[in-house]
Amino acid sequence: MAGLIIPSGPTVFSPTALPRLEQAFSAGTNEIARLVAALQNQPSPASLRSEPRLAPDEQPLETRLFDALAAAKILTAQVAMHLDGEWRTKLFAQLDSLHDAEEWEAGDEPIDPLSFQTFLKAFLAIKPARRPGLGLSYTGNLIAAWTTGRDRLTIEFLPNDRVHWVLAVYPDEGEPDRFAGQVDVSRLVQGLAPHNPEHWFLDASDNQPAR
Amino acid sequence: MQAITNLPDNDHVMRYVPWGRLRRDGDDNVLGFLGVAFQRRANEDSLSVNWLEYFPGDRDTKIRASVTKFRETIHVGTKSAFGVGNVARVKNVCRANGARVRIVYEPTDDNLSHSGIRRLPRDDLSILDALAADAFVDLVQNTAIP
Repeated sequence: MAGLIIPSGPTVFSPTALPRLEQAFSAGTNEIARLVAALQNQPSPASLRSEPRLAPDEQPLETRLFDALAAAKILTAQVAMHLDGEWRTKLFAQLDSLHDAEEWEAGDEPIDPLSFQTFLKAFLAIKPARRPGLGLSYTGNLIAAWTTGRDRLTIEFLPNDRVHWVLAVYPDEGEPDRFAGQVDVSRLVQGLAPHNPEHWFLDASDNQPAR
Repeated sequence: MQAITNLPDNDHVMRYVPWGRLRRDGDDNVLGFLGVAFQRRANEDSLSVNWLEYFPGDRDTKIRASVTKFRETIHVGTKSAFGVGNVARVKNVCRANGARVRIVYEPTDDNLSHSGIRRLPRDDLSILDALAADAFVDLVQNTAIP
């Protein structure tokens, strides 16, 4: 179906258009058009120069945090159809909490979008029933932590689809058994398979309270 | 040049841990520390800690004094916490995971309790996780200190 596009907003005479139009209008109309054009502010030479843009690390902290959060949420929206709505709402709350300017340590980097991409890929592969606690490395890598009693699984999501993981299992007596690995996110499930992933990812209510 | 002084094994060190490096559950309840809480930055030679026994008084008084010093010298977030570890325990945990660290008195102009954990590998997740779980075993929440 064909449509008619009607521009909205005020129509402005362009001074450069006047010579082409003046033959179509009367002398009085052309004079009025010239007067209207003269009243319009012409761009100053200074404003014609492009404003220098601040490098990301020169932006105010609040701007950097906002931008990083927005990028993460846009990435999440791209896979929203695969995510439970409540899970997504809580994820956003966790990300907001992580980027609280009041809690921010000088020199830290906000979340790296590439790290967050790796996180989303891992989540779509694992589909854990238990939501992890989230943290950030000082370089902006997202970290997910599952804790079952004293046992702990920690995964750091690196840019470019790499993940580091470390887990510790505490026997009734003696020192903990600790395992670590670094794999492509596409092989994370296989990497964790020998370490009883249900122990971390199935829903449970035995997290320890704050010490 | 100042002589290098190792902290006594029986003494303790305290590390500031911002909110983003606290170990939490999915509802943001604090459970402990993440390993990255003990990761040196690329431009750091040692991991910064306060020497608790530098301060006078009983243990609670020392902890309060150390937290006050942190608040005077760095930005301390409301929801942050502090980890306390015994010097010998920190060294033993690192040794069990393949690193022989030194814990050295490194006073600065504005913090005479400042010390450093040297030779700590920066990217060894097992050591960092062991420090978080098995060495810095006491967690003091910032809100608990008036």
